[in-house]
Amino acid sequence: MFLELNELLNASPERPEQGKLTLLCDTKTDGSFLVHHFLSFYLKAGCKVCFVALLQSFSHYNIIAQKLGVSLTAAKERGQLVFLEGLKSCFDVLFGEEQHVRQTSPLRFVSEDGSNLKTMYEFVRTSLMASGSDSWKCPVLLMDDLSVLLSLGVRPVDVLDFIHYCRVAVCSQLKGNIVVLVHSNDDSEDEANELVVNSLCHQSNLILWAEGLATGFCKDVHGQLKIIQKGSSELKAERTLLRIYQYKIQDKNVTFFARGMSAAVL
Amino acid sequence: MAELEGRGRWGDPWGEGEPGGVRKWWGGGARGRESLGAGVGEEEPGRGGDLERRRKHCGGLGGARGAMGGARGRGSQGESWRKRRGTWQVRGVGGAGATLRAQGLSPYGEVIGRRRRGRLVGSWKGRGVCVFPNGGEAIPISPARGPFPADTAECEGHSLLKTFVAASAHRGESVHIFGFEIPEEELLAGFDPDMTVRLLYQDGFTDPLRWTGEAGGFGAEEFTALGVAGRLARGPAGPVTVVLDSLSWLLLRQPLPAVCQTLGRIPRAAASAGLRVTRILALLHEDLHPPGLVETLRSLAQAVVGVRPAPEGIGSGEDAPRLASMLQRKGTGKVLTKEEYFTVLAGFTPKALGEPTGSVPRDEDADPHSTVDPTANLTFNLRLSDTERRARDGMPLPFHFSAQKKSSLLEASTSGGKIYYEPDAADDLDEEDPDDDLDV
Amino acid sequence: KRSCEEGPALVFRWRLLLGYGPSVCQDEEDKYSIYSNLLFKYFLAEGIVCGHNLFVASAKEDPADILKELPAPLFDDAHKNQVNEKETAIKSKQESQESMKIAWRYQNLPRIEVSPAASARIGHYYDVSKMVSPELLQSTKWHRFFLPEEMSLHPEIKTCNMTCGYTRLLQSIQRIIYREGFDGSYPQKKQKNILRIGIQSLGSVLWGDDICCTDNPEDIYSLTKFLYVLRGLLRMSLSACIITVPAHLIQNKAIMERVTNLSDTVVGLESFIGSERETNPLYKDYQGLIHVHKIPRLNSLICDVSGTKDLAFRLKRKLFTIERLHLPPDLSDTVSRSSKQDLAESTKLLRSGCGAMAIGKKHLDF
Repeated sequence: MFLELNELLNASPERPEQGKLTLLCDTKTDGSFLVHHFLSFYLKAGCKVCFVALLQSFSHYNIIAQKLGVSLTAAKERGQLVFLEGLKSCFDVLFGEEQHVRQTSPLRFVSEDGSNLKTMYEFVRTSLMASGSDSWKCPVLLMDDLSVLLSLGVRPVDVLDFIHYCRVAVCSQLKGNIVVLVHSNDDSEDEANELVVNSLCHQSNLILWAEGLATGFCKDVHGQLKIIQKGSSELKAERTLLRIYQYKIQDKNVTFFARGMSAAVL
Repeated sequence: MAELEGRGRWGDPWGEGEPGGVRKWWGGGARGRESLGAGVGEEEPGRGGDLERRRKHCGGLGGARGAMGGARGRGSQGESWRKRRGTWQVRGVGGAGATLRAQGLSPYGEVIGRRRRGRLVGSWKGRGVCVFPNGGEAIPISPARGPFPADTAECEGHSLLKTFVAASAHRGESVHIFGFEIPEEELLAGFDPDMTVRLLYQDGFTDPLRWTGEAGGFGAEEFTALGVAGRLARGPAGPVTVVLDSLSWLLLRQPLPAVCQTLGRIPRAAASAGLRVTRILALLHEDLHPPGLVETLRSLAQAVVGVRPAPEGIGSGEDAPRLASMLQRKGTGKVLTKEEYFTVLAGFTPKALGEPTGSVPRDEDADPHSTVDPTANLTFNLRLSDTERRARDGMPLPFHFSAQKKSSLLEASTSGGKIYYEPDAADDLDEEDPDDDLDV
Repeated sequence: KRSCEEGPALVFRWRLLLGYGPSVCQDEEDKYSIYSNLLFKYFLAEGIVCGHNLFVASAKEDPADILKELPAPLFDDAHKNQVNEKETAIKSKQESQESMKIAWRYQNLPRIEVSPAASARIGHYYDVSKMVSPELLQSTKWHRFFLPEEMSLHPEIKTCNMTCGYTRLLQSIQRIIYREGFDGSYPQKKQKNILRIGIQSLGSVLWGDDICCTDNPEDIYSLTKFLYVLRGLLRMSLSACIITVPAHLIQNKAIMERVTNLSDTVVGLESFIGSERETNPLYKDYQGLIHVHKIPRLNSLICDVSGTKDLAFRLKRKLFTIERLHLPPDLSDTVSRSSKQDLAESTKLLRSGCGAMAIGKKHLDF
């Protein structure tokens, strides 16, 4: 959890928002620091978190989370965190010995011809459904990252269907939040990916867009973060707010500053 | 009482037009027109002449607006508006008759009725009206896009769609909203309770693909002419508006020809069930589709409103100004295009903010690199406002001669100078020798 | 005589193995895949020297032949290098004490080390001109995967919606990881060891993939799916992998984007052979450029970023070096405009920050 980002977003773990879809995007840089932020943020906020981690292993997330002051193993043990390790499950589905694992795995679609993500949705829903005994705050679905699904051969519309149902279940019915990371690159001509990104832009309430600096690599400024706060259309047309900050990633923290106001420049 | 008949007559994209129904356009008759300004009010409400005049009036509204006390704001040509029981009723594009409660607000929209054989014919009737909110094209999220005004991150079209919904409901039609993108409570929020009665939400959001097996929802596979008509038949009788939120959702999951054919068959299927579909409103996210598909839909729709974020400086701070580019097919084969700034106020009333002037950059598609403005996005200011520019221009520069100084210098020159020379005793000058004064 | 300096590309790989555990590295091949093969061999040779187990996979060359051609290590090099470094240190000290009369502004600037990794030496040096000795080869344990051979050995195999070459390779790697106990799930009998996997020219037609021939291949996801499963396999075991990919042949740009996304380190090689830059006097010292597209962020928020990403490589008779790209001083009186222009272009291209390839001319970040 990066305090400076909390201030920019006007968020605090004491009162997490509800029913929101947050889209994290990165272009020409690595936006995974945002995932780490939201993971530790919601765990500290006392939300029930389902983390679909497709890109990295559990130990990777755990080590970084410890640097940010959260223990994922502890959270898993007390039932606050449900961690789906995509790398491991995918391997189990393809090469695992046990038949029933293949049949029930959320990543069953990898071995099937159809790319239906229904099993994964059901995994998310069952893991976030309140089970009476626990007293966590609103449920949260966190995904890192959605582009991997496309690499695994899932059609973009199936990804969108999956997100649609997650929105229905998590945002609309359980009044929880969804945070999703996608990569985006205009130059890559990856139409399927762009369709997913554009579509999610329409659906999301908040977009955090990390970009590499257009002028290239810099030691003291690692990129810029666009914060796009969408005005709701619920009661009237509202202005969409766009703010841009530059950031520098440190070992345990990320600092944000106005453009051109990096400590190294001043 | 002027009763106007709407008839689909020209450019019928969805197949055969349905029989013209009767719809009350302006209920107020002459009584309603009394405040319309000079030169109109004294006319008796006779059918032909009245409408003829009314049409003229509508056409010349830009001029007439000035005569109407209290009307403010820059209006556009061709709007049709009318006071009815203390409220302004406006014909918007695509037949959205939005009601402006506050008197004097400049309504937004344009006339779509025209006179034909003594009757006004609405040419949009029963046709698809596509609303194109421009999303991706205008989303300045790619770093290569260059500087953008801060408030143009994205332009959603839901608020505009809701103004059309409100207009239809206000006309007393029942509005069937086939919602796939937004849950019911969010879509119906903000409408008056008396209006909500007329809004029927067909829930395509909760379980469109039948994954959870919840009953009562509208499935994507149900989106056929018969399926839609079946849903419509469950509602009250009377004129019906069909709203699709959004067409993009359907188009991503069903092939384009099938969707278009379904759209064309809906009015007929409903007619056989005894219902009259007055219009189909559909929202399309342009950035999710290939350009060819968007063009195809444009060619099929009776009216198209594209929404883009307005440049900075339009509207006041509270508003979320948008730029609407309207394209509308008229019965005679004329195509009307227009651009106008607007915003949507609470209660889903549109408010016009004037038309863009020629200087407004419209190079949405132009390569941003070619027009990079180095003065944009700086942490310091390199621009001048008008007042600052005036102040700067007014500043006398040190090398500038003021008129006073100039004249004083000129004065001095007229008086001229003289040299008085009195030869000294030692001044023994030889006129012939040029070097005489040298001490050699 | 120093024979080789390992540049950052290899150093990163090495550090991955030492400190960060398993990872996937990806080399985009240069046009004629000369230098990418060289890097590939360096990676394997380093494994031999360190006593790691090797796994060599290829669809083109017999793995045994690849191993035979590995460069020979130079063991006495470390000592020489220390002397060398002392000398250079003294030299640079002397130099810095010379006062600059005209370019006095540069007086206090630190001297730029030409080869960034010269001071912090990790790994070993190799002599490109010699082959590794057969005795050394025999002492290493290595496994082979030669696709034509495998096809005939195990004809029956389920494909899992992947090009069959990839499936076979994955199963072969998995078999060895489990059999030799690299998966760490049960304690190894011996000391813990690392498996170094090298896969040559992945994605080429010889693997049975058509992404190199057509813009719209039959199975666009085969390669990415393979990489994802391999990534999972490596994360669960003590192994590191280098893959060379003929990036210039892959027609669909989206595939390369996804491949980059799925690997930890991506390094592109741009050889000057056959390109117009070969004749450019500005590059006369180098044989090609190295583009660092991606640097791993494993178990950390930050990634290990060296001061510069403008790197070039040169291959001498015995020595392969990776250096910071330097412009030669402009000593000529007549400035040739064309070359200056070209240089400006190329440095712009080089300004690639962790995968960022942008043209800086029109932007103003700060």
